[in-house]
Amino acid sequence: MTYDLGSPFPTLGRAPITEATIDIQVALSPDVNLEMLRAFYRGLERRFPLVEDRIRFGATVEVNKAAVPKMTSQGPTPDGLLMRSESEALVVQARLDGFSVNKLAPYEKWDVLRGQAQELWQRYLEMAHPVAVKRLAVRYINRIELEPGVDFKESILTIPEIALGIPQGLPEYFMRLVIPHESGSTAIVTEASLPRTHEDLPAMLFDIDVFRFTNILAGDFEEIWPLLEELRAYKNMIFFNSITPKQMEKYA
Amino acid sequence: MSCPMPASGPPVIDAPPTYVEYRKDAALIARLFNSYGLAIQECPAVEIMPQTSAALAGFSAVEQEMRLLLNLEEADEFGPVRPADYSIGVARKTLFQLVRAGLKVPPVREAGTDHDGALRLAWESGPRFLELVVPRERHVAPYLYYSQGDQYNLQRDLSFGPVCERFSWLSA
Repeated sequence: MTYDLGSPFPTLGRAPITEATIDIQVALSPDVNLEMLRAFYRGLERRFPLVEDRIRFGATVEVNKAAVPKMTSQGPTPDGLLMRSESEALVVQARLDGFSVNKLAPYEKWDVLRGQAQELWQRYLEMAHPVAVKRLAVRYINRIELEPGVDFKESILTIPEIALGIPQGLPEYFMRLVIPHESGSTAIVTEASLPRTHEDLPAMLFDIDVFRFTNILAGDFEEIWPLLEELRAYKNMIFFNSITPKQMEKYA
Repeated sequence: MSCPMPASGPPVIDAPPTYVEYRKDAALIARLFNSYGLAIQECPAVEIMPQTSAALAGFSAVEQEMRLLLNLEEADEFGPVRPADYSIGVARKTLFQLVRAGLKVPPVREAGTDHDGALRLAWESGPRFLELVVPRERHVAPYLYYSQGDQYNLQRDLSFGPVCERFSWLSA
C-alpha cells in the first residue's frame, strides 16, 4: 500500500514524535521593532512563565594562504521572543521574520497543534501587522527505535543504501534529502543516528521538514491554513510510506 | 514506494512512555542537533543551498499563479476563464521536471487562459518570448510556442531535455 496526498492517514496513539513545529515566515513593515513585538507576551505570562530574547548571530571565516584567517561576525542581535510553557510542553516564537509554535512530546494531535498556532498567530497579527507571508513550514521530528543487528528496512524504507560487498554496519550516519513535490511543497528529510547507550535500543532521528515559499499578502492570510494542511499531508505521505507495517504496529 | 504486507498476528502494544521518558528523548535529540550546529526549537528552518532554494521558490511562485487561476469564474461572455484541472496538472508536471533537477523556473510574465480555455503561461527575456500552452481538451497536445523578433516556432516535445533546452534558450 502506498499513500498519496489525498490518502486518509491513520491516527497513531503512540506516534514517535518528539517535536512538531508550525512555522510562518513573514515580511514586516520596516517600522516594526522588537519593542513593539514584546507586546505579544503581555497577558501570556501565566501560560508561558519562561521568556527570553531570541538571539541571532553569524560568523564568517576567510582563510587565505598568504594571511592570517580573518573572522567577521554579525550580532549577537535579539530578533524576537522565545516563550516556553513547561506544562503544555510548548514553545512559541514571535520574531521579526516570523512566528512559530513548537510542540514537544507528548504530542497529542494535529488539530490541537493547529488550534494553538491559529490562536497565537492571531495575536502575532495584531501586534506585528505583517505585510506578507513568505514561507510556510510544518516540521515533525521523530525518534525511530530500531532492532539491534536487524536491517533498517525492517523498520524504515527511506534509508541510506550501501552497495553489497561493503560492510553494512553503521554505528553513525547522517543523511539529508531535499524532495520537491509538484504541488509546490518541498520536504527536507534528515535521518541521523542517535547516540547509543547500552540500555537503550538503537534509534534514528527521522526529521521531516516540509515547506513552501509563498507570497500571500495581508488580507489573504486565511489562505495559509489550507496550505499548512497540504504541507502536513506531504509530511504524512513521507512518514507513512517510509515506516514499515511491522514498525507501525509499535505506534498504533 | 510501497510498504510490505503487514505481519500476521495481533499487534503488541506496550504501555505508553511516560512524560519523563519523552523529555529524555527530546533532550537527547536537542544535544545531537546542537552537535551539528543546529537547535530545533530556536532555528525552525533548515538551510538549503541557494541554487536549490531559488529553483523551489521559482516553481512555488508559478504554482501559486496557477492556483489563483483556479479561483476565477468558470466562464464569461467570451468563453471559459478558469483553466481545466487537467491543464494545470500538465503545466505543473512539465515545469516540475526542471525543479526536480534543481533548475529554476523563471517568474511568469503572464498567466491566464485564451478564448478556447487553454492555459497559457508566458515568459519573456529581452527579445525572447516563450509560452506554454495547455489546451482544455485532453486529445489536443500541449506545446511550447517561442519567438524572437520575426522568427517563431512550436515545440511539441515536453520531456525534460527539450524543455530544459528551451528555458536555457530563454535566459541565454
